[in-house]
Amino acid sequence: MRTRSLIAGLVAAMAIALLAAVPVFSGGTQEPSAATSGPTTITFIMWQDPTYPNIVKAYNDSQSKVKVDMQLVTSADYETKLTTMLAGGVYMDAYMEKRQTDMFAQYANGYIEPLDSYIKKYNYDTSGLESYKSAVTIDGKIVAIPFRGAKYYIYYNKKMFADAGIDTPDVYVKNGEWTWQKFMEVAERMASGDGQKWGALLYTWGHLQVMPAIQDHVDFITPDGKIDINDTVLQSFKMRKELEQKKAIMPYVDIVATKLHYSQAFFNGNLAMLPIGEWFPGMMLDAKQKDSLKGFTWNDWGVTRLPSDQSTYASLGAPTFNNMYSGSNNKDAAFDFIGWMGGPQGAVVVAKNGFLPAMITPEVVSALKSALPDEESLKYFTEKTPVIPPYYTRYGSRVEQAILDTMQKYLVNDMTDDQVMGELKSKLQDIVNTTN
Amino acid sequence: MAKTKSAQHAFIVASFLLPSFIGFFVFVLLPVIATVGLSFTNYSGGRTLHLVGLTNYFSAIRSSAFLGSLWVTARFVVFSVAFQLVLAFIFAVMLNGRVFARTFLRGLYFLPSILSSIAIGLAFALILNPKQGPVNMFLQSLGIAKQPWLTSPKSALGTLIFVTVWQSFGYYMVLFLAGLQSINPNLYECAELDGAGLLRKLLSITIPMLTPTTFFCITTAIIKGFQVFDLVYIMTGGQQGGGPARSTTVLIYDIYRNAFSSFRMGYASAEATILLIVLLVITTVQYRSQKGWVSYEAT
Repeated sequence: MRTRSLIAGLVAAMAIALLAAVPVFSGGTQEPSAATSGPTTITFIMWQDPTYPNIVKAYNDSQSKVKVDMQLVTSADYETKLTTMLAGGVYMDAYMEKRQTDMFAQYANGYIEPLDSYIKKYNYDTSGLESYKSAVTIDGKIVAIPFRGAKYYIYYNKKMFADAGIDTPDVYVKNGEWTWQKFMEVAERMASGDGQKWGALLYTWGHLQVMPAIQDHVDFITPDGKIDINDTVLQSFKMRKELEQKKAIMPYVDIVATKLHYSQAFFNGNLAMLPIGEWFPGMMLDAKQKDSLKGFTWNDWGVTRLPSDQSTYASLGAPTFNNMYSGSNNKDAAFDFIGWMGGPQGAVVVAKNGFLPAMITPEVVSALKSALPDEESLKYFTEKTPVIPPYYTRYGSRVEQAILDTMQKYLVNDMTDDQVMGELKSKLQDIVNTTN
Repeated sequence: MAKTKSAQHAFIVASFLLPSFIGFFVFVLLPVIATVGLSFTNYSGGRTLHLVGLTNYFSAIRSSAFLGSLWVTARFVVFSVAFQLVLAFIFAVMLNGRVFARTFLRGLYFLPSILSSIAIGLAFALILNPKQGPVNMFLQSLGIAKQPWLTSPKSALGTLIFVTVWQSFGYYMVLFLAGLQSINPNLYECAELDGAGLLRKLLSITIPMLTPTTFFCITTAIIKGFQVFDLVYIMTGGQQGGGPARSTTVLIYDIYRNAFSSFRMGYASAEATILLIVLLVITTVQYRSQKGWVSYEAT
């Protein structure tokens, strides 16, 4: 009896010690203690990018009330690491959202602080961000401040086109001929066919596999849970398969297996066209500074529209934004920072670093001049055209995976059109059925 | 007096056992209990969760993705375990005899098993790079076409199995070596006096006497096989890996993707619980069946 009591006592003592030790392992202990004087320090989670730290530094230098402590997370795994950090209770005041549709789950889980009261309290001017308001609104509440605009373009290597004696894509845009069929023709002509020169690169993200469908307003799953696909999805998959078979673009599996980054592919100087987002000029600026461009110079590249089969041209993309963490102890300071980044002052700094800011002002256009190679590119970069956010619903993150899984299966197998569409439809229905 | 001594003895024993028990409780048992509990909820990594009963289990059983990943895992386990143990046994038998540089070779073959899987995965991803990898460059120099090691659904899983076998067979080789060295040499001498050849000695002495080691190796290799993740993650594309066309999406990778990419942590917990049940069943069957083939007779 006494033995049992002793053991029980020991177990109880250890359990108490364990409970006392639990906070050591929780994220709560990482919470910074409030400073008694000096600027309020806020913790900001962002992914590693050569130019983002410049923007944060500009904010830190512009005022003395708030100091932003950047916590850099590797870009490739940012989404999963951010999820783990949030679930693990790691302390932060604000964070950048990389995969925009993750916002829905994060908001449902209570990690995101709605910003309406702060916007009202500080009389924050959102007029410049009106076009992106729907992209950062959930249940009627504004949950983020966009700092980077949303738009995909074709970036092209002028030198390769000149060497091949083929018109650059902007010529087809001016002639009204810049369709996806023309894109395929040009890509095929620009490629050497032996893997030495590529006509284009369609990177590995889901929305880049279905650009013609997104331009046709295909939602894949509508916000109320209905399947919405049509033949443009199939056309998109076929385009990739045909271009891969003709060796006009690098195979999807090779890009994934070799972890080739699209920027590196373009910097290498053997890629004619790259459909990618509005942040790419920032990467080009960085490459210019680091002398990473191979076989071509700063003046040898250009920007123009995406191809389009629609009567009214629309690009695609979702704005990049910052969220305020609901568990922040410095919400006013956090709002000051993310508000600045999305506001007119931040927009100029964002533009100087080669990004298309969410807010376009004359100062922004002026600042963008140094981030682009010529006036023609600036014209296309800043033109006002509709932008369609790809599958922008709470199902979005899983839709992306369904697209990639179906497309990969199609690329490596002989599947009929009905089989491809049936496969995708079945995956999408499964998402609807199993999303809580 | 006797009772006091007994109590003191129990206290000392408990003092030694409790630290490791607490470690086991906190880092193994508690997460297992939490996983099973979460599998009955719609937990998505946040502060709100609701009980959903067996919904996640039914969803998993009906999901082609889950069943597909289970099939990939089963193939991975069968082939990787078979090759690891056969190779380990052959090398152990060879290196148990008088071979030149025996100690060096034992260390050499064991070395990969103590290296990080991440480092090995990165190294092999470079070596097997479809364009500029040294293996394909070498093949090309011989006039042989470049092989799509990790970029074809037909060869990707086989490539992962090869790397796993390369990394792990040395570990099992050492276990077999220990087993071989515990066999009484008199048994071989008696067999030789009776005119037994190498094959007879192998079949009638070595293999039967190694059955306890073989049983341990099979059990641990199967469990490790079901838990494979790091090589798949590193060699097939990280967050976007598991391909081409899900050909290397093993169960743990599917769990990872559902939990951290799709925020379906309740569902992922159900998948993990099913895996736990599968492993428990396999291990129990193995344990029960050992009476029929494992010999614990003194050597």
